[in-house]
Amino acid sequence: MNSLKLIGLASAGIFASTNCALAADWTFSGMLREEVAVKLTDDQNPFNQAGNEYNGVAVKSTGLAPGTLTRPASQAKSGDFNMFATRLELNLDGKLTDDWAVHFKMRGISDQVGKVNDAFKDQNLFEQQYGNNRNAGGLGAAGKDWMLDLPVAYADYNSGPVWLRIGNQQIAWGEAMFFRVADVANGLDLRRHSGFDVAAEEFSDKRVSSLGIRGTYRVADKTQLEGFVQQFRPSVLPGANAPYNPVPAQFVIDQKTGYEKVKDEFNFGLRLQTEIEDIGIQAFAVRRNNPDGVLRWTEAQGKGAISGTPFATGTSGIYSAQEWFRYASLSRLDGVGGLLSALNQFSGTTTGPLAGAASFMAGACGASNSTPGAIAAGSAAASCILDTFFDPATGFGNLQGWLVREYPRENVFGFALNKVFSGEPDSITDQLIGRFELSYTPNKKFTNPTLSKDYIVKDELNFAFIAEKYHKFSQALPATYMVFQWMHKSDSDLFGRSLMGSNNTAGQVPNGKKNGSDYIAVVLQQPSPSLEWRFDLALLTDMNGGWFVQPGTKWKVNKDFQVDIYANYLRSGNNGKDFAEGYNYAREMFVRGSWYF
Amino acid sequence: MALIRKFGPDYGRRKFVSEMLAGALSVGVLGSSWRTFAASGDSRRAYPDELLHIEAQTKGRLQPGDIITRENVHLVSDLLDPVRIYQIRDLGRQLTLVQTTTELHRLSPTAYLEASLRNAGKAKFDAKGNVVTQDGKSWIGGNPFPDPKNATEVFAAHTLSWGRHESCLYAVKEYDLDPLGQVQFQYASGWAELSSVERQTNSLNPAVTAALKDKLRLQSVFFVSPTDVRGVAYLNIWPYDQNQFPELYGYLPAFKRVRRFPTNQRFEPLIPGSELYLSDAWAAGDPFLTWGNYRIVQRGPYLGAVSGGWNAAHANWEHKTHGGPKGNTFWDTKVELVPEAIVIEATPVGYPRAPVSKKLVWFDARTLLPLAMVSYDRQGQIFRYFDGSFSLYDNGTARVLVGGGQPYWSWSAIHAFNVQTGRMTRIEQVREVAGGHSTRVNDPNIYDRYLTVDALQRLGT
Repeated sequence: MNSLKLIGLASAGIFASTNCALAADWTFSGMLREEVAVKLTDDQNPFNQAGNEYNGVAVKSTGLAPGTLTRPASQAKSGDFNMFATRLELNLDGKLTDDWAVHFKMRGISDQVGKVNDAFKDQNLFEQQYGNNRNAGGLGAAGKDWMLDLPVAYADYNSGPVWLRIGNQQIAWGEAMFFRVADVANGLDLRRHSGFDVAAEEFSDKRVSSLGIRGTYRVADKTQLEGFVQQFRPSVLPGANAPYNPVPAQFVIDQKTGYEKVKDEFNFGLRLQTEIEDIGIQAFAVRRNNPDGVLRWTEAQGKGAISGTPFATGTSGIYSAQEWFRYASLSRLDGVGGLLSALNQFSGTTTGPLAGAASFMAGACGASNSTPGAIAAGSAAASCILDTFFDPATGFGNLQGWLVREYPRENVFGFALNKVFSGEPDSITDQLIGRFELSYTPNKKFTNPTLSKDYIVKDELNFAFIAEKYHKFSQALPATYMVFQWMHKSDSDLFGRSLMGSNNTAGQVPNGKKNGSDYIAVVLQQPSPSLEWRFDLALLTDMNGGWFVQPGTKWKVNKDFQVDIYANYLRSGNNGKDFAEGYNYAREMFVRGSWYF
Repeated sequence: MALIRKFGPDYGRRKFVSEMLAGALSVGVLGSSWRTFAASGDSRRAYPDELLHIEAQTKGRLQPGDIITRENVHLVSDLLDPVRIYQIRDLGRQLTLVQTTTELHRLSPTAYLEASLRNAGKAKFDAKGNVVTQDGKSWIGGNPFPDPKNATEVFAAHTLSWGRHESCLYAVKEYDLDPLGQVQFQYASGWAELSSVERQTNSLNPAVTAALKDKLRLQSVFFVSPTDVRGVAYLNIWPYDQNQFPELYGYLPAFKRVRRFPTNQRFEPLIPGSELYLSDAWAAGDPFLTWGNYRIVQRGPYLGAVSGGWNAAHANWEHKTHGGPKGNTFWDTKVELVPEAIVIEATPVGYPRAPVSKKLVWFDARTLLPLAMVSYDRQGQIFRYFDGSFSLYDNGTARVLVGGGQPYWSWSAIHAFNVQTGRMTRIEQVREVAGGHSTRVNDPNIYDRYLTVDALQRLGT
């Protein structure tokens, strides 16, 4: 007999057998949190209509008709808050038997930032239609300023070396923090606080849960084989005009078409973990639809659509060539190539009713080739064509561009190593952990900076070196936790954009970036002696002028309350190269007050 | 007449002092405590009455059933460590006296005692300082030095087998109090141990046993409440070589995955508010060769909580409290006269930046079980204090049985007290915590469910 039995001799009965739970054991817990982010700058999000850099700015037209083009000043709105949210999380955990357990988490968010910041008044912060679901395809529901979902809804089965997790779940692989080299199973949902939450919390609130089965078989003490099958779920970007929207709101993105094509697809993954001679080793392979997706021009639809083109008229489009080029540069797109793709790859301007007009305009603007379907132009001619289109007298007025998001199938292969170095006590190598992660994606498709239907295809290599250490600088304080990370990506930037769009000057074809992109991250954490306080500093740079610095503190007030105060500071060299360009608006201080129950 | 003087009231103390001065350790006063137990199952014959009865020790002024308070603590001040005297005098701690327990099977798990008897004389230290069998293999169960001759043997043996079972899962509740007696933090957790040397049931499959060949123990801790730490879990894998640090794997809900962590920071709490450090576990939380300069600094009778710690009256074995500003700083504790305690000093030679300069650990000489620990800061001031209570989970009317029908023996409650700040952490072993994690022992499922890397992930949220 291997279990404990409590036997009351007086009553001569078995009170309980602790080896086998005969009745379900349920636990309920939760958290209520207020989250407020206050801007430390007057800058508004330039990707939104309200923060557009050209609101009220008269721009001299370079089109065929002289004059100025002005985006209405009335679109400019401002405010001091980026977030004003209340979050409720409820957890229900049940142990059904010794082998089976179930876990649920319901997450509800209400962000009333539109009530305190005019720029977000009545804007849609959460609702995104994917298929028949307004919560971006996930288990849950969403409205303009609220969302309610079930990020956790799974059953665990464990018997001996076998473990199965069945249901809606996140899968996180790899050991690098923040850098997603091996963490390739799930996409990210960036609707709430985008990537600006506490850096040390990584992506736990963002990784997109999905229905699936994850299984692990422990072959030996430190060797286990793991596999998963999981329904495809895309990454979710903040909506147009939401506080942290990263896509120019002059675009309309068709999320539905691409999603419908792959919504029934499944992702598969296999991972082997073991240890040889004190070196931890992982090897993995994943077949998936890239959750981040790729974008290309698509034919505009609905009210205002110009038939056979990716453009639609309205009031929230681009008003001038200068604005076009500026936002192309901010988004690491090719403004000139983007125009040519739009003109040469759609029937409306190649064989349709606008073919002649486009060809005429191209010729009149000095394009090197004005043949419909083969129009070629340099910067000046492209600017002329654009302004002629945007001029209400000669063209259509402001134009919205339509994009479609697609999710190509791809294979990701990789491995990871880790080793704990055991140097002399108190030396730099004393318990220093070194990690290396690498992933390789052959024939990976990237958004073409021209937004052409011909995606860029490259074999992408992504790797990271990580050094991690606790070091005690003082006997009076607990050890300082220090992490240093370097990540290299061969063909894309931090956000997964092709490097062909980097080195981007407005109005010019991007020079691109050779030799890949590199990022350095440093994390420091210093707890107080009782761990009630923790002081954090996270730093990220691309060494091209982009910086993200996040100092902050967590205060565990008592068993029920916690207060977090952090600041986000972003700085860009504004040189068309770095990751932080356009993100001045996210310089903010955010405060979270959490009540746990 | 000479005989009468020899075994008079101070005979035991005089023997302890004389042996201390001679630098010798021979546990027992009238004979070897261990050999007396081996012969009779009882250690009574190894000690004179003065060391077995509190009435004799205090010349009739105290007896079992009495409560030690600030009013009468002076009567037993030489039977207590300095921190407990301070706690009783200044903080209102009380101790209830009970009769001395002399049957060793009530003071240690029977299987552990049997293994100690079976394997007596088979242990030695190898060239690296590790305990091995005479043919150089890993130890084979029980106490390798039940009749110790020096401080290192005492510490090495205890570090080898903390809980004295093959495997355990302790359901644990923790209360962290500020100096005003306010419960600031409250945690529920599970603490699992699996010893590779205590093979009492041979319940592990051969593959796992083979994987543990060069390991001493697996030990994990995971938290089930409150919400903000729910799912935090750590796994320590101890190499057999006590010169090496354990490997530490952790699951933090923020990361959603198991990561390998550095493990040399052992003088810090794992969770906010706690005064319990990794280094404190069983007063021997670090590989014993990362500490050094072991020496015996004191021997003599001591008031230890070696029995009666189990609160069977509570359905979940939870304990009552008393003392301190709000009457909740200390567990209600029963103590008895332990005839011989060995106080061992050690210094953290492998931790140059440790906030601790040395520790003193009180061991029951009969069982070599740690009863209390005082650590000192780098300025030589008393820093932290750690005392535990133990019990056979059998009070005559209720009992908890383990494999083989033997009553369960284990620790029942712990104080971890920061003398310099006045912060107290109270920890108790309970029957069950949220999530259906119940205390269990020598259960082969403990390995799969609590002591593997995938278990950490599964226990996480």
